[in-house]
Amino acid sequence: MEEFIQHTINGLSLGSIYALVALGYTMVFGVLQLINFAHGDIFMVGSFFGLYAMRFFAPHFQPGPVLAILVMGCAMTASAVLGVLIEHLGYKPMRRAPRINILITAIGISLFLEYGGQLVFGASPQFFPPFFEKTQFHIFDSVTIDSNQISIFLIACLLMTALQFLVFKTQFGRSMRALSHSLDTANLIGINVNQVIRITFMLGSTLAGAAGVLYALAYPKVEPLMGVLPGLKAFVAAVLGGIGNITGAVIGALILGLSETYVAGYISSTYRDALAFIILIIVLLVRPSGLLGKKRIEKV
Amino acid sequence: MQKIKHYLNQTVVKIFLLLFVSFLISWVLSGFPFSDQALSQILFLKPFRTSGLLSPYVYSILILLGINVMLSVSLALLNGFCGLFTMGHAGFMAIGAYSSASFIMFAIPSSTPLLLKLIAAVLIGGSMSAIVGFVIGYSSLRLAGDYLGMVTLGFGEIIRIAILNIDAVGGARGMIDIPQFTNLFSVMFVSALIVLIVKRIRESRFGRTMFAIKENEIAAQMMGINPTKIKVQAFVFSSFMAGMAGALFAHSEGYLSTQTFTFVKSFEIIAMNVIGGLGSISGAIVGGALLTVLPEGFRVLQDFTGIDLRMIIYALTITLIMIFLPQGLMGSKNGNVKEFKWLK
Repeated sequence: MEEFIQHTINGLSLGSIYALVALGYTMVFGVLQLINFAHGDIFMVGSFFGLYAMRFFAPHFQPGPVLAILVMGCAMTASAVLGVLIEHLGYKPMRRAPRINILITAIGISLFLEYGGQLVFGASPQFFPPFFEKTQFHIFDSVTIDSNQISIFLIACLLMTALQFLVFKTQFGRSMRALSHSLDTANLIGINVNQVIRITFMLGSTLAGAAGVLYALAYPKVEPLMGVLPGLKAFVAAVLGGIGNITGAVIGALILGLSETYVAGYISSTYRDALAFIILIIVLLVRPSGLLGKKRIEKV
Repeated sequence: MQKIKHYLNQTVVKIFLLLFVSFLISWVLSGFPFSDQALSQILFLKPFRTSGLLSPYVYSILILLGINVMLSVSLALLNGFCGLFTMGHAGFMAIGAYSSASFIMFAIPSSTPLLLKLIAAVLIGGSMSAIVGFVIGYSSLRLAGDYLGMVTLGFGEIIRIAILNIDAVGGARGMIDIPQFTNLFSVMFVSALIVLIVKRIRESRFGRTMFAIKENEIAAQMMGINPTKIKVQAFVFSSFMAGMAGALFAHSEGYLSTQTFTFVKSFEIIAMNVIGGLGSISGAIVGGALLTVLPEGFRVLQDFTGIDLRMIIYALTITLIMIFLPQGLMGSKNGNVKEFKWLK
């Protein structure tokens, strides 16, 4: 039982990181019907910028909330800029192109970021120092929860609440939701479509950057190819929850994080990475619209 | 200009045929040899190799080129003709490679004649891959577009992880000491065969049905076409050919590792198709050849700069081609594809 609680705690902390990445996938898909393959790599770039900010600020600040905010802020800003750049240079010229072409562009950009990252940051993994003193709390006899897990969970919840507010309570959120219904109609009723898309990319990339730093906090090894698997898994989470649906993405990510830690804990860790794909296949074959997604009827 | 192009194409085919026929004749003249020794004696490239015209490096690149052309053309059937966007082609290749390698190593005696081994390898690789292709194609039929791509990517990765967990084929260590008997002739022969088959398929009723499904599935259904059947058939054909390519790959390298068959490989095959132009056979050939030769060319650049720029240039090329030349190298602006004359 205690083992189970321990796995649940680890799973929730992993799941909340996936959730932040999955939100970016789901928002971009909602607006553009595009799987943004480069999203996992924005996540990677975010954690690298976090690392550099850490090295820059660490001599001047004590480990603690101020340092955390500075590092997170730098990583989030840098990934937001990167996201907007990618949208402007890569996806904007292709707004009217067939979907397969856009998908291949996304793959190209993703590969470019990965190997460009190897060139700029170096291919070998680097250590990410924690920005808090890590303290462990004992809940039961053998169940532990450390400060990193708590801060990951809290920061993720905070960011997700902020996003929820932005999407459902503000003017911008309304235009974003309008876009997800129909791009052309939104354009006709006077919404600046390009700007909304740009801001959507910015928001998604900001969350991915934050997730990158949090992931590096939990697994302190940063390397240029680290974004590939978490990116794919977050995508699976978004599909599981119903792609285009914000609540669904969070639920899907938590389910994925939990089931992954259970599989790694009880069965074998080699099957951990296969699990995400098995979930993906089952969801798409049984219920392609996901847990919370609406079924789209194809009209002739 | 047009005439020169036509003439060039014709010449290429003629040379190709001439080499092929000369090999066959020499084979017949030397009394249908099956033994390894005799076969290697008459390998029609022997004079080239001994005279130094064909260095081992160029020879190995040519083999890789043939394998890549096979993969690219087999994907063109699925992706370009039928509009089924799949991202798991490396999985089919892996099945072909591993099944043929383990068949040759564990199931048949090593004294089997070379030619028989080669034929068995290619057929076993192809059929195992076709079986898997049937299962995947049949189970993912409800999906289209990006979703199909994601599911096939998932299947490809699951195949890879499953192989990684089989200890008999080496697991994470990789499979070593696979008999190496793929030569340039066999690669050229199989790739020419695949090009020919795919070309004939496209001209057939089956091929036109696939194009109809690609254009508009519902309209095709109204014309009495059964999309389910056609799509599964396309999957089986395509995976069979990818499996053959995988088998040849296994016996040319002599070493297999699951790291070769990640989704990056699948993306590479897609890129070959896209650069050449989707739906075009000659495009698939040109794309496959380009993406084999270009990275080797960049190797020189790497010696010069000291950093590995190959993958970056490669990624940039895909992106830029998609943005500025979405119809690919062999496609034209109005959506038609230009083909080599001999492919029409």
